[in-house]
Amino acid sequence: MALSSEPLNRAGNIERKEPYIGPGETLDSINNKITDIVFTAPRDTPRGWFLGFGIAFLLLMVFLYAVTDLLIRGVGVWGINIPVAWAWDIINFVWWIGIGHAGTLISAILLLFAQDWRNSINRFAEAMTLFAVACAGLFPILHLGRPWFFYWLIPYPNTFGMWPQFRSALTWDVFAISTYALISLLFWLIGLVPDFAKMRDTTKNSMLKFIFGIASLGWRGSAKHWNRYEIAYILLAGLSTPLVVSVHSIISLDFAISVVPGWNPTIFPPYFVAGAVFAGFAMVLLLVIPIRHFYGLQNYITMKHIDNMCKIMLATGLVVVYGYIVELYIALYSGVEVELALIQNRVFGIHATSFWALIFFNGLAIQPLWFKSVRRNLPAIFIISISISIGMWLERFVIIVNSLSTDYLPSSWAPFYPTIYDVALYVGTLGLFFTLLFLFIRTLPMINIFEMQMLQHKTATGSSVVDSGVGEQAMEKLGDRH
Amino acid sequence: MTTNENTGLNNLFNRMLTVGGIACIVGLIALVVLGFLNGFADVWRGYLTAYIFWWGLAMGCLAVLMIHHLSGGRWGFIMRRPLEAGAMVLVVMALAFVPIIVAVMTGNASLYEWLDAKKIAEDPLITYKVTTTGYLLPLNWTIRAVVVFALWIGLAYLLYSTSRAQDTAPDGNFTLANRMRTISGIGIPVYIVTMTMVGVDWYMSIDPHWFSAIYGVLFIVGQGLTTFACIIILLSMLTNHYPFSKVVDKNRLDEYGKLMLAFVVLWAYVNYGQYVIIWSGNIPEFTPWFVRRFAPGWQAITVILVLFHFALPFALLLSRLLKRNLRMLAAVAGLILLMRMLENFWIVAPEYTGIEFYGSSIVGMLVTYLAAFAFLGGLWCMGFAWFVRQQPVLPENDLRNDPRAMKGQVAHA
Repeated sequence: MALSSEPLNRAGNIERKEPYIGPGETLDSINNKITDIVFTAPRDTPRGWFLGFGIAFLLLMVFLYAVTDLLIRGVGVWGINIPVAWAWDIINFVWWIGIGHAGTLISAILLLFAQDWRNSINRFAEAMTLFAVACAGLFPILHLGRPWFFYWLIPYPNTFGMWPQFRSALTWDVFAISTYALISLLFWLIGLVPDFAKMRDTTKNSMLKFIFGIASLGWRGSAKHWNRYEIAYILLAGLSTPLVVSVHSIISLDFAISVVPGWNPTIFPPYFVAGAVFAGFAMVLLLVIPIRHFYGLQNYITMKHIDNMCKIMLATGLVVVYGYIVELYIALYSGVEVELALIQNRVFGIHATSFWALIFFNGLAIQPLWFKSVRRNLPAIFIISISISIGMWLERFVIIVNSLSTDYLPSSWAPFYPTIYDVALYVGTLGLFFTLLFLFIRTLPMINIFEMQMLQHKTATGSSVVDSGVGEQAMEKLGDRH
Repeated sequence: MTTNENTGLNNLFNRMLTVGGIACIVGLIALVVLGFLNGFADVWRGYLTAYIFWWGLAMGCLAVLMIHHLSGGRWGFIMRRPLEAGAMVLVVMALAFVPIIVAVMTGNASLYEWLDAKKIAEDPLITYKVTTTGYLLPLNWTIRAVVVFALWIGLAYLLYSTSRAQDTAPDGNFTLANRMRTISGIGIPVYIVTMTMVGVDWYMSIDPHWFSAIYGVLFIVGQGLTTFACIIILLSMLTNHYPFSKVVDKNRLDEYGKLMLAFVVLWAYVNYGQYVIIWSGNIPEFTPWFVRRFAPGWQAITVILVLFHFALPFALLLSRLLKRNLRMLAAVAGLILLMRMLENFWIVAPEYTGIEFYGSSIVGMLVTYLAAFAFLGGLWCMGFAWFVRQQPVLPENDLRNDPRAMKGQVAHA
């Protein structure tokens, strides 16, 4: 269709949509810009990268120490007690898993909705998902007591007649998380294949050519390859979409099926999912803002991208705040003693500071996002994202520790205080996460090259300026049915 | 647009008025007759139960309209005027709520247990809710109902009138479109919070001993689903007439089908979540709600809902072929509407059949429910047909979403 596809009005004014790619980019410039980051000779690696990687690696050593000590001495090194038999370990588990959700949402749901703005951030967000899931998965295993027997959770035929208890939420977690990790990995790898081929064809280094050649699985970019690629990718997106919802729903059920007061509001599944996406987008922004600055990727990750992410963050944040309000409201309405005591403890009890901090970090701090000027102000967004990351951690603290420390039996109530090993393990997983992340941005194309090139092509020819559906298909009228 | 091209639509809306009028009268007569035959307690209960569907449809129209203003897109452009009219029907629904307010203010305990003076005195939970906190005092309850109706009608009217002003706005002026976006941005949180409260006030409190945090969300999701099913059915009637025949194509159908599928899944998700949490927790405060719905008679309805409110439509709507065929899509939407009707009954009526001293029977409830359904549905259709004719059936100046504008064909000045 040769007609202009911009929304023209009668006076001839044009409302231009802000494109998702900066000006002056060509197919070659995109390829070079992204591959150059990877192909930089080791001695030319930016100093900042070494600094970041070094800090992350140090923290990873803290992780090693914390785990080693835990394996030698047992979970008693943590601050957990009875009744607070879960604390930081499960808080961190839920926190990390939640962070992964933004990646899946960006890669799967935004793909199904044909949102062009996913193109420059999906690779990166998917990698973040994988690393976050890796960190998350460690916590329930380490909490097992005898982590070296973790494989007993997997249903496999064995001589001593062991079979997992399928009514246990722990077993559900095994399936939820391993499925999630597997599908996320496949999605990420399949998306990388055409880019691996591009790397193979771009590099002059024969060693790299060889490595990327193997990784690209013989990709030659024929029409047949693209056709199969598109089918596989959309199928995986379809498979991933339920995972965005199901993984965190299962995690909410870990709590909800226990009859601890404060763990079983029926709002839990959707409220957990919204919280996960909320925390995930905060983490994406925390990573994207410095990276686009240091690597000069402003043309690929535009302010429009950041604006969109802020909107999703605001929306999911409001859902989370709705969850807090509903929990309080329904408990007050119920008039049931246990529920009223729970609210009393949450709002005024021994861990009340965490609740009020949560309201501040997650509830109040996100309100400036209503304004476009804030959504375009990088320092403000960075601070808000940090606030959300803290807030979402506190949310799990409020749910887990507050509820457990004051359960049904007042004589068993006990407060929880973390030990240095709780902190070390948490900080250690941050080290693991950032170590993997720094390795990723140095060795793999962190932005999807071919999708950006397609976006550039679409933008240059004007077909992506309006919402999808202006193509020939859209003109296929209902009147055609005979 | 000549008068000739418009006759089709005019006839359609006229028919809607007539059918609505007849349904309204038949329903009213049936309600009165049933009242004398069966006792007026059932009539009140049936009325309150049927109110969920039709009031919910008007609320759903308001919510979907606000979502469209926020998200943009052509799916909403086509249906914007019907959605605006549907939201304005809230005025009619507010009037239809007056009898319930009167019943509450006069202490009609056949509607709500907590209006019974004896129970207020004896049942500690009811004492807490009515006397101690004053939450369910009839006056407080009424004030809240009046306030929420004022908020909803205010939102609906603001969007309706701004939309009308946009029709004649000077070209290239996006201020009105942006204003509607702002109204919707504020309106969505208002809608969600008030719906949650109203769910508790009007329906959860029928059994004052039970509570569930997701109750409001069940209503919100249900309203969305009812609205999308209705949009599809309405589309199947409108699409043969100008100007809808010019703007509706298979991609739009596909979008509506996907949105309906999303809500079918969402409905199953929130309901299943509630079920798993309550049933596995097995705590006396929560489980009675499901015990009642697994009782003989109700059990059959529960199973029907699982199969035909979720499983079958879900399986069918996965097909792209089906979503692009208006007749098949409308058939699925019809099934969903039927199930919505049954689900609304299932959400509320078991609370009444479960009451010890004066329990309604399922059949008694169902008959009055259907009569009230016809009465309120008649009112709804008449209100809709009236409001939808007050404005052009497609927005005239929506340059962001109008497909004709994108082809450079906006020429109907």
